[in-house]
Amino acid sequence: MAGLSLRGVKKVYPGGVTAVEGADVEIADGEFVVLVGPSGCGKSTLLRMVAGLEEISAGEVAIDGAVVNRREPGERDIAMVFQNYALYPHMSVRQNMAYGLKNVGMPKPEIAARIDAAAKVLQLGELLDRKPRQLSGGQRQRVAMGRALVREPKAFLLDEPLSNLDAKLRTHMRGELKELHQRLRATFLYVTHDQVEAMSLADRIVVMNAGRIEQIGAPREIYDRPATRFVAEFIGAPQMNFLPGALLDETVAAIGLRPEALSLGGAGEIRLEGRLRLVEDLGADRFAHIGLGEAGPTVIARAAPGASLAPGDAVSLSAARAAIHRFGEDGRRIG
Amino acid sequence: MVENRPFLSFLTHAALILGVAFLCFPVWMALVASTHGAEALSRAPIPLWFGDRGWENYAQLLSGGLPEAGGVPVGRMMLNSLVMALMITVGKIAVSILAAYAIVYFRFPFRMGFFWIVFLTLMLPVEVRILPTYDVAVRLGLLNSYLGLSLPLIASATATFLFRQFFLTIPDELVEAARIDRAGPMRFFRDILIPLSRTNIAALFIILFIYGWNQYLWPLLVTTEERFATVVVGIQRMTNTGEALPVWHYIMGTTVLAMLPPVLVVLSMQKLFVKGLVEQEK
Repeated sequence: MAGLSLRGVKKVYPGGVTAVEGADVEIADGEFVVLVGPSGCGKSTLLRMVAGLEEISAGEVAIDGAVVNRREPGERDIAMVFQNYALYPHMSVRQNMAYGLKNVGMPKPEIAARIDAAAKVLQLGELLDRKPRQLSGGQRQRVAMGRALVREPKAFLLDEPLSNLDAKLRTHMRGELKELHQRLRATFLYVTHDQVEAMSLADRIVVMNAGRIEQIGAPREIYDRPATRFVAEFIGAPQMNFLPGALLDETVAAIGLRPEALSLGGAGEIRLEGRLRLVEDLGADRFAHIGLGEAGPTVIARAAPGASLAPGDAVSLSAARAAIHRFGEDGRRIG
Repeated sequence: MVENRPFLSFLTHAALILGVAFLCFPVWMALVASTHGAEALSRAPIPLWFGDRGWENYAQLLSGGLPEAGGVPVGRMMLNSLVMALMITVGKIAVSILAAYAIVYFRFPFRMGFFWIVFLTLMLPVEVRILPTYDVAVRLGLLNSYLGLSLPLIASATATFLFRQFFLTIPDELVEAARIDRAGPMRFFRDILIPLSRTNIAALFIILFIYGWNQYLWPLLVTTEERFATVVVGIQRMTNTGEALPVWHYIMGTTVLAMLPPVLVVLSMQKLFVKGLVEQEK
């Protein structure tokens, strides 16, 4: 296991499109780092450059201190889990896992021992002699993970590994993945567009937008102190409410308030009046959409449990001034 | 359509049975004719049921030389046909799968140019380029050899195109996974591409084997010695008896024998063949 460092890594496609502009990320040994961003933000390209599947236009990728820019993917001592798993369809699960080891000339008993160990960790025991097409989505995902595991690589690279699973299974596999990381203490670099996955899995999150890194930080830090308006919008569901600064006597261009920072009724330092438009009941939480004035913006607030709400009601909102996120004209955080 | 109308299903069955009978009748006639003597066949009405000369006819065909066919036993002709058909089939598949591999997976200058050149040869079957090809074959000293019989028929645009289309459907992720698993180009080809193309190869094998087996014009041209005659050419020779009566019982017997290897190939590989045409392992 080892750390990864990306120094000024840049990707310019022939034709001049810049997919990643100078990314600097230091990943410590054993850290779980999630690259998150909307589609087309360059997160997958960045991961593929680390894997060696994409050429690096400028900058350096170092794995365990050694610059690997010129090394083939197979020589970088990494393992990758693909979005569609990329299992070899004609090989059994066992053969799929053994293939990479066989290619480096590992002796058979050791291959078998590693497969047994990985199968135990991932509960693949009875599946070893099946073909990928005889497996369910979740099982395929586990096999793809197993294929990465047996390599005992310096780092695991995962490219949206859960996005092909249904919602329930995704939550389940997310838990398994987190547990697996805690057990292995290996370096994980994980790409996703799902901010929930990012928040729940990561030790640190790298938020990307349009080829640039917007912010790097622990999930809590990113949630509590988003560095830019983009990060504030992207992380958190329902997303942060944005209001013109002037509305609350602030001098900044825009202010943001998380739905849970707004309470219905109550007595905060800030008060807003509006009319209830609709209520989303998600079971654990209820979110009230409130229109501020006739043509004013709509804000979302988390409603306290038990309160009776009906669309059309006049409601008042309150919040603490400390809960306000302030953003300047350029979208950067102020204060 | 699920309809339960007895008359309609009777009609469709009748039409299908009629079609099958229509297709099978000539085969039946050949089979029947090969069991009669020469006299029985030259008289009207032609027999529609088996005669009693079957064993003799086939024994004569397989072992003894027929003067009508240049004195070469049919067994020998079938062997020639088999060698030619197999060389063409294996050669075509090997050349075209490698060509398609190069075109799909490697970046080299004029890649698409080469592809289109290969593709254009679709318009140049042997029949069109027969004179220049014959000239080349003569200069290379390929007349009267197995190589001469098969080599000019080996290049195949169709098979190259088919493999190319199949390779394009293989997800990039699989190629990338193989790269991470340290499979070099040859390993990837051998361990991943060929096993995945198995059903395609089988389907092509059948089509190309029959194509090779049925070759007529080129073998006729490039072989002058009787010992290289193929069975299709042999049948033609037997019918060219000039003044004498054609030996229909032998001709039909040879025809039946000539039908056997393609039938065997189709029967033994039809499961893979159907799979290759309709489904793809992904």
